[in-house]
Formats: sequence, structure tokens, C-alpha cells
Amino acid sequence: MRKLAGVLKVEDLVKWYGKEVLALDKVSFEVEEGDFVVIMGPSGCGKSTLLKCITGILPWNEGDIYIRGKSMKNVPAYKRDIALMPERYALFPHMRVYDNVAFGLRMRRENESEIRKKVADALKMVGLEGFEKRWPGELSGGQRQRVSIARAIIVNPSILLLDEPLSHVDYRLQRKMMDDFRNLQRQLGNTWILTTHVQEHGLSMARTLIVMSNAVIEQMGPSDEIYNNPKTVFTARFVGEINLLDGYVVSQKKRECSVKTDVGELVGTYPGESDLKGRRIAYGVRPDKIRIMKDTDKFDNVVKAELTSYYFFGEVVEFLFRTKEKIQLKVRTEPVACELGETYALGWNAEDGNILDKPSVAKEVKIEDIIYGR
Amino acid sequence: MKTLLGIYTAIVMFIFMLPIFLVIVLSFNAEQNIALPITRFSLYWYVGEATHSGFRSGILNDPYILRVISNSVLLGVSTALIATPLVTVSALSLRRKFHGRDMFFYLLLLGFIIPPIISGLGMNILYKTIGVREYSLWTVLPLHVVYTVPFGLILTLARFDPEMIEYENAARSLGANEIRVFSKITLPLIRAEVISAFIFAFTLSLGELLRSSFVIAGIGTIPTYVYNQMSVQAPTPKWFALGTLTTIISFALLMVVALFLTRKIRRITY
Amino acid sequence: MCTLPNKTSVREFISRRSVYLMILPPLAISVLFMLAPTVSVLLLSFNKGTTVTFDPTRITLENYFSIFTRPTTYIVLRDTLGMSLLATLMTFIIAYPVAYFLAFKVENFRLQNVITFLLVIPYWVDWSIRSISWLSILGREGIVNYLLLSLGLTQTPIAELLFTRWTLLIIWIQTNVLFMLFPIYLALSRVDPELLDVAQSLGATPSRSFYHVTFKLSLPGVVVGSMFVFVSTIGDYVTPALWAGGLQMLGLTVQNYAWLFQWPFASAYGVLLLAVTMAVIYVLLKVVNIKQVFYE
Repeated sequence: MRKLAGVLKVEDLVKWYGKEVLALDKVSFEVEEGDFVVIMGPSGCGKSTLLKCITGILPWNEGDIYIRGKSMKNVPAYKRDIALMPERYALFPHMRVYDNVAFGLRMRRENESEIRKKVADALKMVGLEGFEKRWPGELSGGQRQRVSIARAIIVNPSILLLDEPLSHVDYRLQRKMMDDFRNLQRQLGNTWILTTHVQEHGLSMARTLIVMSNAVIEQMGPSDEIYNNPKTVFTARFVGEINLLDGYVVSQKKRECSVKTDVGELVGTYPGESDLKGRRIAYGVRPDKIRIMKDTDKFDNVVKAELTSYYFFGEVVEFLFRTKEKIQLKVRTEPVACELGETYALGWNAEDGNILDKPSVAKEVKIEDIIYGR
Repeated sequence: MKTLLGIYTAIVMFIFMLPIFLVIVLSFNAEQNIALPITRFSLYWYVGEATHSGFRSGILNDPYILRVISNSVLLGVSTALIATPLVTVSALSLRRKFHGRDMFFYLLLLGFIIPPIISGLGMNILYKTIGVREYSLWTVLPLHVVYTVPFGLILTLARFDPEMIEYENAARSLGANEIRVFSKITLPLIRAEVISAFIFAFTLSLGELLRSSFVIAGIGTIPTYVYNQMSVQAPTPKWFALGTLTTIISFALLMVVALFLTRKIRRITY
Repeated sequence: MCTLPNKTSVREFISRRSVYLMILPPLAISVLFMLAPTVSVLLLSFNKGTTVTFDPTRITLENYFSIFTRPTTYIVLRDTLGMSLLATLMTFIIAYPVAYFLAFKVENFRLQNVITFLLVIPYWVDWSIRSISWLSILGREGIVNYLLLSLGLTQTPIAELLFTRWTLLIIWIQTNVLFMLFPIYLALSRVDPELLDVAQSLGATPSRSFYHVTFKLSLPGVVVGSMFVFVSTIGDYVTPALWAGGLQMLGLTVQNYAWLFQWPFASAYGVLLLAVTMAVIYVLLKVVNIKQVFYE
């Protein structure tokens, strides 16, 4: 008896472009009803492809997609209970805002008086009250995007899909839109799936975060869990900043490992199951988990380093330290007084040290590529 | 659906090409008639046969017809040579906003909205009023230009890349003066449209009859010649020979021009 | 607010005015060789007799009076307008699927160009000559009759295929199909396929998304093509004379009087033709705002 999983289930999805480009390599995941999912990954990782397959405008080669338990294999887009907000909004240039937003309802043959009310409501929800008579060409980028969203939410789909909804919006507006998205979704109660390549967006918006790279899913889960416990080097690097060190495991006791690195022996946490003794791994510690030690502090890991430069971000400062082995460590804290050229003791605890034994879920990825950048 | 449309297109193209196919085939008909089937093939209509008096009646021997053909080609090329720069300049200037931009566009469009017969008649009246008594091949030229520009304009405008201005601005910011911007950035980008405009202008001019017959005199162009002949004579494969010859010449000519234009533009840009 | 009176502002001045310089040649040519002749016709229609030069001292409305009181005028008008509109409609119906096929179903852009070029080639065979070939197709001994006879569909060859209205229609369609096809093809190829995807994602079936998105977006091309076909057929005096037997057309009327050197009278008919044409064009342009399409 197959358990009817959530509202969306993607099973072993494979998509090839032509014969050479593999866009999705057996991608599988499930989404619960009412969730706010952000699919995050670098350009070209397959997130747009995935979204388009779910929408129904792109066919796939193997695997299947289930919406509310029903296979979507031969179901065209216009029969699925979804709506898409495309990356470049795709407003119909020959229709006014009103007709753009009303489009989905007209396809469902609702009557005009109902439509008029719903359009007005939808526009109000996205903050574009009174814009009915405008033409797309007269609108700014942000306004166009909001019309595109209104057009999608008005049909009240089970799953609302938004492809890179923040990429063409300026910074100030981005913050506001992220709030608006969360509020809207709470109001409407349906399931939202967004894609983005900007990790801050993913972290802040998502209730469930899916990290993708190279046609595979690296990790899926709540944002804080992914941030604190990345499973692969890729995820560690892509989601937030991290300091990475090459090393190999000296001893392993339950979840704690001792790792020999260039800056000495460090302790970290490994939530996985493999036996890592003697194995080469990547040791990661996030900049915000490192403290500049005061005399009274005690930490599992202590490293001495010289302050070489810093970046001031207002509420946070990023310090760049260099150890005597010439290893660079980034530290992020609230502003404290430090002097360039002085040596300080940096400390963090074992639970903040991530032991990463895999470069990436995707095959054929060299660890050097990820540690030292592509 | 795709195959259905493909079949339909193939049928349409077939029906469309059928006349010229017939023209070419029938031009080799040894008999006088212009109907199928063909019993004997010969090059008679092209090169004629020697008769007692030494007179050969093929079109390649007939200096009059050869002159007609060269007139048409000459006129066509001239029209295209004048119309193409006009089209380019107009299309480029329409990108910018200026007073009277819409009026300008509609004015140019008028060239193919005003019925040909009015243009012809009007030009005739105008010429006579100004005092131009004698007509020749060249009195038709302005009419052809005015007629071919709108079509080329729409062609060019429709294919304009909206990013073009960005490239031009980038070039300007890098120190290129207007002439350089035009020759090295704009021109290569619109190369295809320029060539199409040229081809269409030439083609349209070749077939133009309604306007031309009002203000032409002398040996005339192919359409006027054929029109005059057809009113008095029954058609023979000789016309088909003429048609085939024209096609071959046009094809060759346009190949040469297209190649030349492509190379010339490339040379300017390097 | 300070002004900088130096070389930069002069260059800016010229470059801002340079547009006007650029449009001068086409503008001049249009005015001289298009507006002026039309105005000449208009003016001359108010004279009478056989004068070819406009005489402002002898303005009269006699020509118009004569035209509008003749019953033949209305018959000719009806025939001409009817045939032209019919030809336009049929050319549209025939050309649209081909344009759609080229724009959407032929992936290779090069191939699209090749097919278009192939369709241009017949136009180098002069249109009259091409029309003659229809004799071999539609004539008594022509292909169509040959097929019909051999298939046993008729006993005697059909003579009515030639020199009737339908011949005229066929020849007109053949002459103009390219000029309808090309603008439509251009308009269709500018349609962003993403629009169709979105339409589908919002619940539009393929045929509905075709109608609401693709077709509506192709209307400017349809309008341009229709304008061309309509204009080139409505004033045509050659084709009806040669191929449609006794069908009298407006353009023919104009030409007839011109041949008789009745320039003013011919001009008056010409003005009538112009008026009818402009009316139809006006309606067509109201359907769609073409200038919006061709330059934003």
C-alpha cells in the first residue's frame, strides 16, 4: 500500500538535453502540503529544468512526477493543478494588466463579474491596486513581476512555482518581496516552490531548502539544519560562508573526530555513518562560529592567527586572519576592537566543526574543485 | 500537427512553383503551343533556327529582347541600390524618438498603400506639368524606389535586434566616432536585413508594371514589353524562354550581389 | 544651471539633429515622388477635358457629378471591392499556415531562409509570363482538364476555368501570396515561446493558447500583408483585362480614360479609387496598432 505522500513527489527524474547534456540525474524528493520550498543552486544545476518539468512544459526521459498521488507523465501543463511565474515574467505584451491577470480564470470559463472581483483582490494582494488598465510596457520590472505573480496566484493552484522570482529585482525590493512571499503563502495556504541562485534568499525564505548542483540534489531540509550540518563540501560552500581545511582523520569516537590539518589537530562533528579513520576529509568551520578569544574563554579548538584585513558590513564585521602556516581564516562577529597585524587566539567548539567526507553528491567531482573554487 | 502543416506547405509550394516549372519546361518545347504534353524538345526559342534569309528568331538572337532584359535588370539593380540605403537609414532613424516620427513612418508606408495606378497616373501628370516631355527607362526609377522602400523597411524593422543600441553605446564609450560605430557595429548586425531588402527591392522592381507603363517609353522593361506583346499576339513558348532567362540572370545576379555585399561589409568591419 | 559652450555641446547639437538629417533623403523622395503625384491627380480631377496640367481657374465638380450619377460606377465599385477583398481573404487563408509552419515548425533558421528564398524565385519570372503558364494548367488542353478527363470526372473539358473571375482570383492569389506570407512570418517569428509555455501553465489548451497569444500577436503581420494584397489588387488594370474577360474594374476604368487622354476624368475615378483604398486601409490600421510593433 503506497503511502500517499504530500502534494508533490518527484521520483528518479532523469532529463537529457540532446544526447550530451544531463540536466537531471535521478532526482527524487517529496514536498508536503503547505510547505514553502526553495530550490537553490548555481546556474546550470538543473533547478529551472526541474521546475519546468513539474510545470509540464518540459518532457523528461525517465522517472515520474506525482501531484497528489497522480502520475503526471502524460498530463499536459494545462491539466495540472499548478501555475508558473517564469523567470522573465512573460507578461502577454498585447494585453493589459487586467487581461493578463484574468487569463487563467478566463481559461476556466469563470464569469466576468467574478473575474473582475478576483482580479481586484489579486492585484491588491501584490500591492498593485488600480493597475488594471496599464500595459506591461508601461510597468517597471518589479511591477511586472508582481503582475506575473498575481496572474499565477489568482487561479489558486495547489502548487505555485516561481522561477528565480528575485533575480531581476533590486536589493531593497528583494527584502520586501521575500516578506511578501511568506505572507502571501501563509494567507493562501497552498504550496510554493521557488528557485534561486542566491544563497541568502534561500536561507532566509525557505521552510524547506533543497540544494542542487550538477543535476542532483545535494541536501534537503530546514535551512538551519543545512546551515549547521552540511553533508557535502558543496553544500557547505554554497550555503553561507565557510572556512575549509584539508585534513585526514586521526581518530573517530561516535560523532566526534580528531582531524590532523595544516593548522594542527582539530576536533569536529561527523553525523554520518562511515568509518573515516585515516581518510582524507575536508574540515569546515563557519566564520560566525569562530570567536576571537578573550583570556577567560575556553574552546575545543584554538588557533593563533594574525589579523590581515577586515570588511565592515555595519552590524557585522568580517575579519581575515592568517595563521603562521599561511592559512586564511574568515571570522564574522559583531564589531570588536582589533588591530591589524596583531596576533589573536581564535576558538570554536567541536560541534561547530563540520567534517565533510564527500565533495558532492554528484559523481566525478574533484574535491579540489570545490575547495579551491572552479 | 507538424507533419500536417508540413504537407500543406509542401502542397502550397508545389502549386506555387508549378507555373515557373512549367515556364522553364515549356520554354524548351519545339512546338508553337504552350500546352503539355511536349513532343519534342529544342532550344529553338532561345537560339532560333537559320532560315533562308539568315534570320534567327530565338530570344538570344533578338537584340530587342536582349535590350529589354538588360533594361529590366539595370532598372532593378538601380532601384535596389538606391532603395537599400534609404531603407537602412530610415530604419535606423526610426529607432530614436523624434518629432514627427509616426508621420514619417506612415509617409514611407504610403509608398505601397497608394494604388499603383494613381502613382503612375499622377507621376505622368506631374512630369508633364513640370515639362518633362520625353520618357525613358529612367523616368520610372523614382516610382520604383518609392514603391520598394516600404517593404524593405518593414522587413528590416521587424528583424531589428533591440540590443543593438547597447552595442553601439558600448562602442561609443570605447571611443568610436559615429562613422566607426556605424560601419563596425551597426552594419554587420543588420547585414542580413540589408541583403534581404536589396533582394526584395530588385524583385519588386523587376515585376512592376502598373506604375511603369504610365511613365515609360522606348524599349521598356520586361513587364511592359510582355504586356504590350500579349495584347496583340498569342502566347508562344518564346515568352517562356524569356521568363526562364530572366530567372537565371536574376539568380546569378543576386548571388553575386549578396556575395559582394557580404564581403564588402566584412571588409569595412575588419 | 550652467551651460557649457564648447565643442561637446556643438557635437551634441549636431547629433541630436542628425536624425533629421538622416531622414531627409527618404522624406524628400517620398514627398516628391509620392505625395506630389497623388496631389496632382487630386487637383486634376477638378478640371475637365483633356488637359494634363492643372488649371486653377477652371475648377469644376462635373467629373464627380458624372461619376456618381452613373449606375456603372456602382457596379464597378462593387465588383472591384468584392474581388479585391475576396482575394485578400483567400491569400490570408492560404498563406497563414505556411507562415506558421515556417516560423514554428522549421527549427533550423537557415532552412527557414532557404525556403523563403525558394518562394521568391518565381517572382523573377515576370508576372505576366507566369500568368501565361496558367493557360497550360487551366486551359482546355491543360493539366487540370487532363486530370479531370482521365479520372472520368467530366466528359468534356471545362472551359470555364479560364477567363473568368476565378482565374483572376487564382492569378491574384499566386501573385501576392509571398507578400502576405512574409509579414506574417516575420510577426510570428517574434513571438516569445515562453509566452506559450506560461499560457499553458495557466490552463490554456494548445489551441486556445494559439488563438489568444500567437494569433493575436501575429495580427500586425496579417494587417501589413492584407494591406499589400488589397492595394495591389484593387488598382490592377492589367490582370482583369487579360484574364477576366469582360469584368470591369475600377483600375481599368481609370486606365481607359487615361488612354483616351481624358486625364481629368481619369483622375476623378482615380480619386474614387484612392478614397476606397484609404477607407479600407484605415479600417485595417484600426484593428491593430502596427507602429507599436515595428518600433517600440
